[in-house]
Amino acid sequence: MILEIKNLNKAFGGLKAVNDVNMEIEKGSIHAVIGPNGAGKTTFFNCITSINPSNSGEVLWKGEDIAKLSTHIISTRGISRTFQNIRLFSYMSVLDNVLVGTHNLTKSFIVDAFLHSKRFKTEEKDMRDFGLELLKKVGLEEKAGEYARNLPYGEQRKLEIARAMGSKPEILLLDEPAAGMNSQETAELVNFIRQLKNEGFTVLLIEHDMKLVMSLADKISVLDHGSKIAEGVASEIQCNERVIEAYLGKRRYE
Amino acid sequence: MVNFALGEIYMFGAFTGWLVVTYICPNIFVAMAAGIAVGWLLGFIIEKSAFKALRGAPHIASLICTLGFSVLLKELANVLFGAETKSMPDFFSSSALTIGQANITWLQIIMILTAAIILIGLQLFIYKTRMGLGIRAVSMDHQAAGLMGINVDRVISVAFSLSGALAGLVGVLGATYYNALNPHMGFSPGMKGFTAAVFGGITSIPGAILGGYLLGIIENLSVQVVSSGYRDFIAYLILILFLLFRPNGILGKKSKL
Amino acid sequence: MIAEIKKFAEKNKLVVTIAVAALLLLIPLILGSPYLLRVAIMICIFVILSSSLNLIIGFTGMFSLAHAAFYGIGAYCSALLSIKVGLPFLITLPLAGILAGLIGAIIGLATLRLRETFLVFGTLAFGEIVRIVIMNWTSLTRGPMGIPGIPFPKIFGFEISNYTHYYYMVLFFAVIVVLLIRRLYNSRVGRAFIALREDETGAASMGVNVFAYKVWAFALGCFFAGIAGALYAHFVRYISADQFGVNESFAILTMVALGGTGSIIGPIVGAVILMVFPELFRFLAEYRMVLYGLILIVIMMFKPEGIAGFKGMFPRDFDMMSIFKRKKSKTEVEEA
Repeated sequence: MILEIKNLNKAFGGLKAVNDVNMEIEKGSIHAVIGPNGAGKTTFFNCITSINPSNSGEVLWKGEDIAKLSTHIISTRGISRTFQNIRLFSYMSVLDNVLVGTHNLTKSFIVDAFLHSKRFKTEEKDMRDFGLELLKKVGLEEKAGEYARNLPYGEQRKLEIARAMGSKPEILLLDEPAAGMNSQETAELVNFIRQLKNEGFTVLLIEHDMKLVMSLADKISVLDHGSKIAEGVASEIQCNERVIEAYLGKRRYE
Repeated sequence: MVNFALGEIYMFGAFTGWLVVTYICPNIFVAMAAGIAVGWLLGFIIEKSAFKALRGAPHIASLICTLGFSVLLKELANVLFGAETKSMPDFFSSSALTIGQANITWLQIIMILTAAIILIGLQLFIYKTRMGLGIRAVSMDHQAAGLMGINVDRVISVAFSLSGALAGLVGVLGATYYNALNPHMGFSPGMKGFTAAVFGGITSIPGAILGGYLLGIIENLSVQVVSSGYRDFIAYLILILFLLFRPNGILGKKSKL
Repeated sequence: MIAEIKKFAEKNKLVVTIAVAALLLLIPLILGSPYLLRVAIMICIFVILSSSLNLIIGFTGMFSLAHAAFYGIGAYCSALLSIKVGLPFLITLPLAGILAGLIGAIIGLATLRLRETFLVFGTLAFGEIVRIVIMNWTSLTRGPMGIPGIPFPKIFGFEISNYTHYYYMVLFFAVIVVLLIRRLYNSRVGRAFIALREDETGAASMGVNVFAYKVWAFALGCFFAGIAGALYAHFVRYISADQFGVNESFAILTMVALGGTGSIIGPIVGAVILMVFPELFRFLAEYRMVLYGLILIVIMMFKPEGIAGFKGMFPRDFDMMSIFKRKKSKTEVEEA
């Protein structure tokens, strides 16, 4: 178990956005979290990364409770994420976005930058190479010099993944990576995530595209109204009554 | 949104009052009305150029623009009225009534009454009218307010004009009370106004008035206890302490910020 | 037009650099009159101030209306240390920067949790507090009487006492500060600063300690302001609290915004324009400042990103060529 969540709770006023959720994420697996809109999936991610710290419960990362650590420290532990509503640094270049992702791998500080010390030079060079390599992986190396905001939506999602990989994480938390992508891009994304798994990454992802989830995930957890209502492999989830109810019940109102 | 030129609107209101009283009609109520009109107009113009024209531009551009207005108004007053301090003709300095040792002049009574009327009027305006509702909605989330069909541009424009009008009115009163006007008189009230608002609670009208009174009392006490040189020091220190530990002020609601 | 100038400058980098350097070095000969040379010296000092404020506002997206206070702290620190303790200029100068930076860090720790309007007034209040303390701490600062008789700087026994020499010294420091800030801009720290301007949550998720980096940026900006203060004090040789009030802070802020927030060249352009403007329009007498206010409004209304700024929110110029430059340096390293 690389990441273990125990009795996690998060309430906004009276609304229990995450209600006593338990989850175990196995090392090297692709684990999907699904659920209707407003089920608390993104809040669940925000609790793990302390963007909205949880009210109670434990988040055990390789046995260490990281629930009370702040966001930037959690990042140093090897947990990296993307965002549902894309949080790129719009007025930075594509490459610079990835370089910010490598923040934790490097140490050079103000004086190094002023004096262009040896450490600064080697780090800059290494990180640039590493950043361009990551961009190549997601197919954005030709756009390295463009402002992030000028990329089309699908490419912004790719860039966010590249940026998240900049810190050489062990687990990637992807919040709706396929949202806004066309079918070809989605297919590429599926391949890309599989490749990540083959490289040894653990992936925890939130996704609405059922086809993607069912074909990709080793294990699926279903959230509804903040609580986990089901968990299992794709075939189990597809015929789980509570899951169907949660989705169809929602659909009636749409 | 910060309007750095509010203190200069106060100053212009004061000069308007002075012009009216010296050249047109020596009546303080007419002067007050003129102060309101000029303040409203200036508030309107500043909103249109510094905020409406710059919606979506960086925050700092609006700020610099109001700073530009602050310079413009100050220097315009310098050119038009001269830098030397002028004095307001004497009104109502005779005492109206005496309670024990304290003399209360007519002017003080008018000022207290005006403050009360502004307090009640603003409270009614903000909580009982459609425009007031709009202002409250826009202050919480202008995007959502816009989606709900509120004319955000109009609401912001009215709010700015109104704050300008009040600054103009207070300028007339301030100039009469201190019996002195000069182009640089606007800085201190502008700063104190914000301090008082933070002190009392930035979203609460009674809070702003309470803050104003407390600030006045504390400043005068500090002059007695420490020394007069540190009078503003205490005010600014209180501002910072409140910003840090109780940004919602004494009466402000928790929800904001 | 600005874009064309930029393009031209990029194409002929070496030529432009040499031309600008020659111009800057020849300025004492070109200007001739000591009065104009004085203006040139003040421009250099304000270039340091506006560039360092840009570090706070343009890089990290924070705000400060206390910048003149740190300028003042640097000026008083250097002046008092050289008069009362007799320390040489080369020691009082860095000490002035360090003291300003330290106080900046403390004030940053207190105020940088505030946002927008609150940060504006919080820093404004701190600036005023510093001025009031200088005004009233008469045993140390002589209060409203100010400090006269600050000695000329002596560097390795050579007294810098005429305007031409002083100009070269201040120019040297201004160039150094701008270059250092430029280096910071293209570094890990600079990228972290800009990232937290663009999206704090995103930056934190990438491992940037948002609060610590804000305090560092603020302290560093204040450090340079302190240096500028020391350079100013030994130039005018008489300082008093009212030279470092809110109006100075406003002036520095205006230089940054007018020139172009977040770009390296912007604050320099802003400082030059705002310092030259009053001299050019001296014939307008009292209407000069009216025009100044009017121009400020008009420029902000029609070019909110600043004269030498770039379109967009707080854009940052990215030098496409730099990717290839790094690659070149890589091969160089390999060859070596």
